Amino acid sequence: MDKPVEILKVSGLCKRFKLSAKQQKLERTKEKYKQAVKDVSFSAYKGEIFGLLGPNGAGKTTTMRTLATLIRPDAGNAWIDGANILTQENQVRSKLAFLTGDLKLEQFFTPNYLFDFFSDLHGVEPQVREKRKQELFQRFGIDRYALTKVAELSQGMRQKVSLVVSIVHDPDVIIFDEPTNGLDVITAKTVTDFLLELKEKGKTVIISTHIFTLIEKLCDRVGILINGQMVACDTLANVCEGLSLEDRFFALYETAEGGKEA
Amino acid sequence: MKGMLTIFKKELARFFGDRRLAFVTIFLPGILIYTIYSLMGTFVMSDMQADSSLTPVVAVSEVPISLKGTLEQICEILPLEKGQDPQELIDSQEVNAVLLFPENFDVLVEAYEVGKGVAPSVELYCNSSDANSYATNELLCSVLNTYETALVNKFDITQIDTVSAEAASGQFFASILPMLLMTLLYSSCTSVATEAIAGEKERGTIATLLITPVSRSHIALGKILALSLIALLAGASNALGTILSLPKLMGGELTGSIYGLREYALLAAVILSTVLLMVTAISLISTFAKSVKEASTMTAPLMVLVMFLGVIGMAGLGSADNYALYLIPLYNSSQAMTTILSFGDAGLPVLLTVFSNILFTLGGVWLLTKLFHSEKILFKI
Repeated sequence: MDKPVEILKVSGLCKRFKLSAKQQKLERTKEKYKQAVKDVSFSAYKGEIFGLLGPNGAGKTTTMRTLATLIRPDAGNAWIDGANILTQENQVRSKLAFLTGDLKLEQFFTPNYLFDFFSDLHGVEPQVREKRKQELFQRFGIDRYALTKVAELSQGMRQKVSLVVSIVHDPDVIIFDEPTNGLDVITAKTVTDFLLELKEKGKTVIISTHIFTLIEKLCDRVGILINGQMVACDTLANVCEGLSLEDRFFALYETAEGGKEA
Repeated sequence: MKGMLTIFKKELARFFGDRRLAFVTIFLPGILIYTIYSLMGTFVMSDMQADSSLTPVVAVSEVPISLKGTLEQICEILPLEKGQDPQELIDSQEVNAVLLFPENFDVLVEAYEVGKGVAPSVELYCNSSDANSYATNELLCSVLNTYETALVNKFDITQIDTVSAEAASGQFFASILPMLLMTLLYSSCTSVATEAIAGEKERGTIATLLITPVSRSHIALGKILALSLIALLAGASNALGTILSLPKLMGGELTGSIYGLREYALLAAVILSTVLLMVTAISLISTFAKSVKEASTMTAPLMVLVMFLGVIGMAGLGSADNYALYLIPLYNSSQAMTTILSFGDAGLPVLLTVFSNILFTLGGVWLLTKLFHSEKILFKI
């Protein structure tokens, strides 16, 4: 068996946020800072889907945003296909796609315009762009709506357009924060099928979710984040230790919470 | 009914819950109007008042003995040489007014019978656009009218204003256009700049841009340039409408054709650099806002400042004698426009204004780039 090629390496990632007076009141704490991510390390390999599993506020989105260079870590580092997220931000951005339910598109524009716009930003050659546009638009059924304004598209179609314009540059790493959040079952299936297709093509996909079945269905390896800390990270089988993912997660969660209370 | 009341209370709670919105909507307009109108009144009054320590200098030809003593009490009299042009004397500000008495004025007045023949005439020259000349004219008129009344209308007073139509038009444009232009340019800038940055943050589309391999400085610069062009087009349209409508406002007596290519080119340079500066300033402020509405609220004080500076320009308080003042952003634009429109020596002021505006714009763009790197500001985390 070939040795897996490490595409993503995360080492000792830490990130804390200053709490406003309002947030302190809301979280019933006098602490000025909240440690969102604490010493998180993991790797992802070529041609695999890696899942970050955790409850709300566990630090999944912060980790994903840090990898996408949207925010900078307080400590630690990460490399995407050899590019450093701290010193080679533009190279990192050209190697990955970052998708999230929060990422929105300008509603005034058409999918066709947005595809061309993001292709230009990523420096995709016009000939390559047209071929890729045709391929992706057909794959997601966007071709019929290519000249319709985003504002007039259904929520599911908007999510497909969002996905397509994020991968105009055919990146090797796709980071997807909560990939099926807010999607109807049909669109959710289209998205999960596409992620599996990307894996087949040798791409590395990192997803974050709190849905156990999604991890079980898609992921080769999983990392469990609780209170900003990686409490388990390995292949799905090794993490589960013979239990279902859900049971294993709650066992880890109770241990982590018990430790926190103690 | 209860539902309506609940909605009513919710809307009031929403409005008054946002103290900034309540202040800007309810209190600021009142304060603004009071301040601006008070300042306008003060400036207009001060602009019309002559120098109180002034002893008027009047060039007089053929001073009659009957009035010599009175005139010497109120002004310094210079004899008018033959061939001297009254208009030139006043324009050069060597004298404040010129008084032309006919030869043997006292004899002619004595001989004149009211209602028979042509009454002796006294010509009084002044420049109504100059406060000191205007005040001297008023003073002399008062003396002459008193004397004329005492003699039972035995002579006529002819008043001649030396101000040219071009200077009058220029003075009018200079007093009103800077205020209008500054306000219109600001309105154009604020409508596009708040939307482009705060709007993107509000809609969540800014993150989509930030994860592309385009540097944040380029994103910031691209936005500033596009916004400036749009604001400039909108501002040009507004300005054109204003300039074309001004002659109509004055009953067709004024025309923008009094200005040549030089004035228009200088004005364009000031407007262009001002738009760049305004767009940058509004974009900077908008970056801190979470929504377009919040951005509009946050930029309101800047609007007050722009209007205030426009009013200063309107009052004619030019800074021609202190070139350092042309380095103060926005204030310099208003003052430079006033200088150009009133046919002042505008070369250096415009150069300093454009230089200062571009320098501050570059500083603003640099700061905007820094803000685009701040996750706290861009994502409000």
